[in-house]
Amino acid sequence: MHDETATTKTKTSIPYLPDELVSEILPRIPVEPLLRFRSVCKAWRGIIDEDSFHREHLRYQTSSLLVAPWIGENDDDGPFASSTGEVTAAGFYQWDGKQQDAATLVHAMPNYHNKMEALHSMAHCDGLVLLPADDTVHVVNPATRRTITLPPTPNAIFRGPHQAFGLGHDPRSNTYKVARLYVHRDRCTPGGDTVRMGVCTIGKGLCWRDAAVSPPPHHFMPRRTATFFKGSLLWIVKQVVPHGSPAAPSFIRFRLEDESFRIVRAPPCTPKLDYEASSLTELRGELCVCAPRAAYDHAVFEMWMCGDLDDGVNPPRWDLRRVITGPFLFRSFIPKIATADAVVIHFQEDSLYYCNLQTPVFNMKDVIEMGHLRYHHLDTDKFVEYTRKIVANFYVISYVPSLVRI
Amino acid sequence: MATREAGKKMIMLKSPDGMEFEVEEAVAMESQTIRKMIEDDCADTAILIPNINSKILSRVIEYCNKHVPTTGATGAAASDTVAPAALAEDLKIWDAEFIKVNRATRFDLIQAASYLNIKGLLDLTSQTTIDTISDNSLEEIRSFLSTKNDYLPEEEQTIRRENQWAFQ
Repeated sequence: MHDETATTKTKTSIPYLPDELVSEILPRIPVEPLLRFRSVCKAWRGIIDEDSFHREHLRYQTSSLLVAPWIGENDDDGPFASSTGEVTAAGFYQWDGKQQDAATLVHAMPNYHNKMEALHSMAHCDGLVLLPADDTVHVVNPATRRTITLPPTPNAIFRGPHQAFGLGHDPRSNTYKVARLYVHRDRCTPGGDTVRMGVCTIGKGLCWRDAAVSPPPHHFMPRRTATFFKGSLLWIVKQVVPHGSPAAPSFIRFRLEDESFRIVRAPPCTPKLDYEASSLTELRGELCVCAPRAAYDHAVFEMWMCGDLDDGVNPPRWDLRRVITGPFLFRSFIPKIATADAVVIHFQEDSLYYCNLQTPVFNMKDVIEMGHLRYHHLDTDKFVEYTRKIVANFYVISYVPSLVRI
Repeated sequence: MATREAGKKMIMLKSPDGMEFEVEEAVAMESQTIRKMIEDDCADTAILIPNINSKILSRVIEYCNKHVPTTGATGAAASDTVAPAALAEDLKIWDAEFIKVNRATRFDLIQAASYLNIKGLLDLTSQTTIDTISDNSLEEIRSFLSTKNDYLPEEEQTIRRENQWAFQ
């Protein structure tokens, strides 16, 4: 048979990888060697640089945790007291959870400083990390070590806390979009504040434009970055607002492909969902709301799941999947990553909890204090220990390394 | 089509070099390609597996035999007594032994797994290849391929510089 020539076992020939196998093998290779393999030959570079290959490659990558600690100035007076209130990014550390005391620095972000209170929470989509702050927005691909800074947002005077960002993939145009829900103040009309949506498509000619349709006039939780789920970005509706009647528990949904809005009903938590203390995440293809059972009792958390969002006909079907009881109060409880039998939950800013789904009873031995982690610094090849004293905050997100271009 | 044991349908697989392998239908259906043939009723007589010689086909069948889910009366009883985690660990060790083959055989197995669409075998064989080639130099990679380096030296330098850090 002719195809046997590929691997004919004569003593002298080296068996080579037939072309049809290259397409099987290449998408399974991690990002770093693939970036080297662009130099193998023109054909390989052609394959590796294609958008369709980036999507194929994503299917084979597994999720891990990306940890981003923020370092405050080392001041003896307080835990992370700093004269300027500035914190510095210590880079992105990928942590597979197997090596309990070490994460690998995948991308350093030198010279990235900001005020602690200006930082918004991070978001992730297909290997891209959104790093928003009140005055600057970065999009980083830690695996390819590319960073872009988005142009300054319009309405500069009103930027501050009156905005929330989001990052997602628009399947129709096959582009990534950063969206910004913000309050626009019309100075000619007293009390003429309106909610608007700014969109910045990643690619050539980065610029902010307003979406054609205005968002529903709901108040949203500022600085809470949206959750990307099945083509849509979801922001939390702020229930209690000054001079207004409280809104029903819900989310503002922005569908990226047609830039349309819808209000999505929140799960029927009892007695009432406390949004300030709840989280919204994508977990193994489902949307998950994790909320304390009662506003006064942060020791019992409920995990509500939903497979599909409101399609205009059927409202989302929320299903109470787990109840997690802790021995003490959680300040926040955010599921980050799910495996077949466990969910990794980020809580109290610097702790991770491996919640075993077979026995969802809180167990102290499953708690990992990130303040005690050591990081392997690739450049110096040394382990670095961070202590509570210098680490001002940790952001933890679920992350998949990718070749997606920015 | 032959029926050897009660309730166990047998399928005949033929390699292009004329060897015939009688396997349980459930084992053969580990291959999505064969499953489709059976479901589409294209498998009345022996199924000819083109491109895969008897040596490789017998290894593929060996893999499928090991990985076929244990169902049915006796199978269910057997899997009840063994914890799933222990079973998975046992399979892992078996896989590690199975894949200890030379590069030529491994490439043949990838090709067979790809043609027959056996996900587990494809994952196993390609992962082993990835582990090998991810650490290889570009020259070594090129030796795996039928293509040559078609860059001019300065072109190669430019492309290399785009991701210089990955070479350090």
